[in-house]
Formats: sequence, structure tokens, C-alpha cells
Amino acid sequence: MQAVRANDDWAMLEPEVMEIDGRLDNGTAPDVEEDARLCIQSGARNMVFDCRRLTYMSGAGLRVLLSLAREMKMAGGKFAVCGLQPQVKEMFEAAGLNAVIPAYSNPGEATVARAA
Amino acid sequence: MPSPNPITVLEEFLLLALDDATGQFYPLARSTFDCAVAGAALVDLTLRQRIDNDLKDMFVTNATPTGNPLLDPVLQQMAMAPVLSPKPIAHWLRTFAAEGEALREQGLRHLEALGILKREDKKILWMFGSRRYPMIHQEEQREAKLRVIGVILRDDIPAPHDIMLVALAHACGLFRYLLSDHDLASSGPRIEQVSRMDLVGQAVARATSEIETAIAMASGFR
Repeated sequence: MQAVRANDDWAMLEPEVMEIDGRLDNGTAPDVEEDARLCIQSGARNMVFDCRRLTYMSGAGLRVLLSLAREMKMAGGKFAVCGLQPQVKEMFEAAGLNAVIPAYSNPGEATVARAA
Repeated sequence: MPSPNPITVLEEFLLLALDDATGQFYPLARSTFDCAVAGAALVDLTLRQRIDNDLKDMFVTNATPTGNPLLDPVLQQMAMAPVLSPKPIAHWLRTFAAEGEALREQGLRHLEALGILKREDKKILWMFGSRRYPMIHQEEQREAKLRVIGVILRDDIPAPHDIMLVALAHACGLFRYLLSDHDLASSGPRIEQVSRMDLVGQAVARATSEIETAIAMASGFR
């Protein structure tokens, strides 16, 4: 797993895109959560998780997405995901997260939608 | 990361299931209550990052003891299962629901030790035993109930810990005692939405539904 901040625009006119790859599970979720939380605490108010290279997500991953969406909402910001792969999408939809976290097909679509 | 809450989800669930007016548990079906208690133990281990799950299986990811005497035997039993043949959540629910009474008893003893409630045994008509658990400090129970009810009545994204409590409460039909008739009638979709967010809670709901169906069929009502 690797979480990479793909842009450095902390003013948040553009979404903060974090690339998440590999697995989001008990082994990796705490680091991803901490990185994203630091971004929120540093002022990020528009964040997108780019999941195009995320191949597996467990229950721990779902909880991280929920926690970050909750934290961002409480801070008055927006949180979304994009590029969900089959297993990840199946988990995401099974937990009904599509009702509370917007999901886009790719970062470009997410950026346009989030900037609107 | 250990939960900041000194009591477990299982113990918090027991507090939710206790009627503060009578000191007795709300009249939940024993089998569904045991299943929810087992689910609560699994939830506690997921929050302590000892186990994880996907749509198919639940598995141990870190067998290091939590230091909690209620949870560690559960973790130990799961850790002994063969790694190469992981089991679904339903399997573990059935396994630990069979130990529901012991888990409940341990949770209640810990709540007694913390001075949150006390145990009172009485005889009715000198024959029938009656056990009550009056609260000594009601803050924990009140706080848990307010938090869970708040999740249902507001439209916020709930914290994972609260999602799990809502899912467990929903799975065993506890909301009919926690909410007014009016709130219960209007909150159905929200309770369903929140409960769905936790896959362990979903599994508990499926298991309790199967138990209720089996009981109804055995009783000739279906």
C-alpha cells in the first residue's frame, strides 16, 4: 500500500487527491487514516481518494473511509473517492457508503464535480 | 489502537439493553441476544485491529492479546483456526453465540467491578428467582443511549463505534425500547442505512433473522 499526495494545493480550490494503491486493510488503514487526517488538520477541505490502483479493501478500510468522510463533513469540507475497482466497489456498495460518500470514475471527473 | 472508551462495545451494548427503570434486560429473545453479544465481541476485536473481514470471511490479522480478559479468549479461539481456510462472519457468530451467556456474564461482572451497576437477586413468592442490575452510575448508560439515539435522529455521518452499536441494537430489535413510537416509525430508513454501514452488524442482522425464522417455523407460524 502507498498513499501519495498527488498535488500540493493546500488552498483547496482544487481537490487534494490522494492515490491509494494495493490493499486498504488492518495493516495499512491506520497509516492512510493518519496521513489523510493530517491533511484535514492542515486545512484540506476538499479531498479525493484516487482508488484506481487499490485492489482490495476490508472492513477496516470501510471504517477509514467513513471516519474521514465524517471528519471532513464536521470540518465543513468534502470527501470523495474515485476509480473504485471491482472488489473495492463491491465492499463500498455493500456497506451503503455510496449514500454518504460520492464516488467518481476517475480523478478528472471528481475534480470537475468537486470544483462545481 | 485501543479504544479510548474504558468499557467495551459489548459492555456498552449490555447497558443499552438494560431497562434503567427496572434494572432488568428488555425482553429480547435469548437466541438473538446471544448472537448480538457475540457480534459485539467481534466488533470489539475489529476496533482493536485484531481481526478484519471482507464480504466473504473474517480473519485474525494480529493475534497479540488485547489485555481484556473478556476478548482475549475469543481472539485466541479465532487465532487457532487454520489460516488457509478462513471462515465467514456467520461461522464466528454461531461459535461465540453459543458462549453468549458467559460473555454477557463477564461483561456484567466488569461493569459491576467498575461500579457502574450492581447485582440484586431476589425471590418472588419465595420461589422464583429474579435478578436485577440497577445502575449505580447512570452516566455511561445515559451517554450510550443518547449517542445511539442521536445517530438515528440526526443526519450526520456516524463514528464507526456508534455505527456498530446501532447495528447490534437494530439486529436484536432493541430500538423498539429505546425510541418513542413516533421516532421509531419515522426512523426506519435511517436505522437501516446506519446498520448497513457495518458488515459485522449486517451479519448479526442476518443471523438473528434466520433464528427468528427458524423459531417461527418450529412454532408453526409460517
